[in-house]
Amino acid sequence: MSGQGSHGPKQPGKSFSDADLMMYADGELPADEARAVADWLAAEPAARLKLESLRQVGEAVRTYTELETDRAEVEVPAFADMWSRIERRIHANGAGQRAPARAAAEDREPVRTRRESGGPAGWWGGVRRWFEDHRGHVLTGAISAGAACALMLALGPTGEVQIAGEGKRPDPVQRAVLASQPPEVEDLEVYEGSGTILTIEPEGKDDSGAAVIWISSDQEQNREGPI
Amino acid sequence: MTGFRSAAAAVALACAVLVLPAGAGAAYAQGEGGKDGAQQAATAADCHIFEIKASNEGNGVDPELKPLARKLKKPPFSSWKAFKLLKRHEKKVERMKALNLGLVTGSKLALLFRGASGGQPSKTRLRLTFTLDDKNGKRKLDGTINLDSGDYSLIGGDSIEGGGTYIVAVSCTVP
Repeated sequence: MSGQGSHGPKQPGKSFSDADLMMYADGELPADEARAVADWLAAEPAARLKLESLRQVGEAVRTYTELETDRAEVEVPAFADMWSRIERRIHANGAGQRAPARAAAEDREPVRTRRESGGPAGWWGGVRRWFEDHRGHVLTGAISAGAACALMLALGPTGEVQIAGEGKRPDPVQRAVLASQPPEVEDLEVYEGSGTILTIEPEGKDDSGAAVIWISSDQEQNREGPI
Repeated sequence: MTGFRSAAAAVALACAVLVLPAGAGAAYAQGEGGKDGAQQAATAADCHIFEIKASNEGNGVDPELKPLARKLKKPPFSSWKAFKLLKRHEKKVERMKALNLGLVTGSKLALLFRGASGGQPSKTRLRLTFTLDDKNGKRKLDGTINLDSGDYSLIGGDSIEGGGTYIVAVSCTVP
């Protein structure tokens, strides 16, 4: 931008503003205007000194920003992608030659590369990104699972599961129920003679018990033995 | 809204993950305990009936009576020296359906399996009712016995033709 507010060619012998000098130093002036500035600078030593100062200040600023960018990239790796995008956009703005579609494609390039890279690192990165994106949902699920687990532990019928588990010590009450019991005669009616009930206990785990009903007839009962 | 749906889906998924194993465990527990229920609902019992002649003629226990050998050496059977198998019956007795069996003596034995209850299969408790009628159809005995599956019921005391004492032994198991 010229000191008069237009970018048109200057008349010979006219002076240029500081803004024109800055644009000239940055190479942003149109070619014809840049030539006019160069002619003017050739005749003005003070303007040349000012131009040199502007260049030095610009160089100092660029160096400082580059150093800060490098430091940020090292200390905060997540900034690397961000800075590369910013730089590309800066270059795009400066050159003005990159097509918007290409710029967009280049902006997407890191993401596409990560997704298409395959392999464990890419897969793991995708999983990590998913968890980062759905951190809230994962947290909600974990809290719900914990609450449900606590409820089940507090209210669940643990006794039945313990009885069912193989290899676990049986409950004493349950063991008593499962133990072998001798036969029991619930009721018995003998119509002739009399009956005697006997029980034979099993002699071991492989043996069985027995209930014996011995019937004695009346004749046998009345029979007197030898005196 | 999408966030709410996702959160609801996450909660549902978490519940499913937790409830499914618990449900499986409960089903497993019921399956194990279910044996008990199956036994209680046993519809039939496998019964072995041995008709035995006890005497003092000869010596020893018939090899066919091996399952009863230990018992036959104890009172009141220790009064006899020889035990011979007269006939063996193997019958499936349906629950609450009387098995009527003609014995070698001409008597008739009716066996009624009333049901089963208990824990492990070998210790299932059976409830059996016996009735014994003589060859003239006259009732001699009836009674109900509760005993473990596989245990024996021995009914004896009648004299047998040709000498000796008649014993009938019954053992039932639930499959």
